[in-house]
Amino acid sequence: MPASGQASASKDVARERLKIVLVQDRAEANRGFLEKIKRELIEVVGRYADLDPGSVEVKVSRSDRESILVARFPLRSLRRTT
Amino acid sequence: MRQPGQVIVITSGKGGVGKTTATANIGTALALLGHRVALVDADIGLRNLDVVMGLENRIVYDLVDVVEGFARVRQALIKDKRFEGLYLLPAAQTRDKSAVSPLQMKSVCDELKADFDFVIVDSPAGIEQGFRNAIAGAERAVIVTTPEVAAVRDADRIIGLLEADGMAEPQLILNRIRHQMVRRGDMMDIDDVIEILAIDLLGIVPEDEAIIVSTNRGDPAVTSSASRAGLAFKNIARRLRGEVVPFLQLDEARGLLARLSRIMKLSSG
Ligand SMILES: Nc1ncnc2c1ncn2[C@@H]1O[C@H](COP(=O)(O)OP(=O)(O)OP(=O)(O)O)[C@@H](O)[C@H]1O
Ligand SMILES: [Mg+2]
Repeated sequence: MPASGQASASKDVARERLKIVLVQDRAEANRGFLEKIKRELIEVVGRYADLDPGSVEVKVSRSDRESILVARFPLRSLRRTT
Repeated sequence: MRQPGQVIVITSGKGGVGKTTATANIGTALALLGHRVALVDADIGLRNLDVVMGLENRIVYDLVDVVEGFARVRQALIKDKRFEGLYLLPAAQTRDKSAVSPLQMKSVCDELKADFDFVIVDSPAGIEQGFRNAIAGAERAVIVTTPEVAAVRDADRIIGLLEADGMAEPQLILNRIRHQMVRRGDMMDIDDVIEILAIDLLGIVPEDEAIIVSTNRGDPAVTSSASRAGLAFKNIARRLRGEVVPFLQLDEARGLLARLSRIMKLSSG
């Protein structure tokens, strides 16, 4: 019989430790990826609009069904050209 | 013109979880099913696949000789005389990963897939250049892990890197499952690992002494009908070529003999 309910079932300990460490790992990996996207977006959007690079925000927002990449670019002004 | 084959990389993150064992067995099983198969050892500097396959005495040229232009792919391929259609492209033993670039690796894989149904690339452990080389020419990835915290953690990292690289839907082999330990709650089960990694399962391979015996002999376990791990790898090979093979845990875990004796017991009592 499976040792469920038993506090000593070591696989439950393994599973919980794994879940926690993966949350940290994935958050860290995402940070690098979001920073990269942010840097490039600031460069591209900055060509067309007057941005304050410090106020740009890039994040992943999750619902049950999907993850959405959300970027906010507070504008100082739009350029006249284009 | 024949249809181009597919290039499949076998990778893991953590070392020693069974990539080379899986490559040798899946490749041999696919050849036994009638396919033309090229195995590529991408673990440059630590070549292993040749000894696991029992082909270590037949090497003349290797992968590095090919990318450096000293040999053609055809010259470097070793034909496995035991299994019709099975070939090995060995790694160099005395060079390092930087001797090959991802672009060169991709061109070797492209050349091979024009001529083979399956090109199976055995990746080195880690996430550095050797791994980058191994995945460069592949359109499909199989990740091997054991049911341990560190191995699953590294598998998760690899899955993330593969996704970032645009690899479509990697699949998982869970290797070295010990059913006794799972039953008493001391080893993570298939469901635990699949739930955590959120990835497609390709196969479950039990811990099996026959793997060690077959590696000693240089004779892949799929050739032995008594090996439970061999049976699991045969099922994996069939799934890779598109067959739907149910995950019969009892089949894969306990083997035919145990299943037969169970049936006998059931019918006699
Ligand atoms: N299902 C199994 N049952 C028993 N032993 C196994 C099983 N799978 C692999 N092994 C053993 O585990 C060891 C490591 O396997 P293998 O060399 O295939 O791993 P690897 O992932 O290729 O390692 P590396 O990262 O060093 O390339 C070998 O001694 C092999 O015989
Ligand atoms: Mg190996």
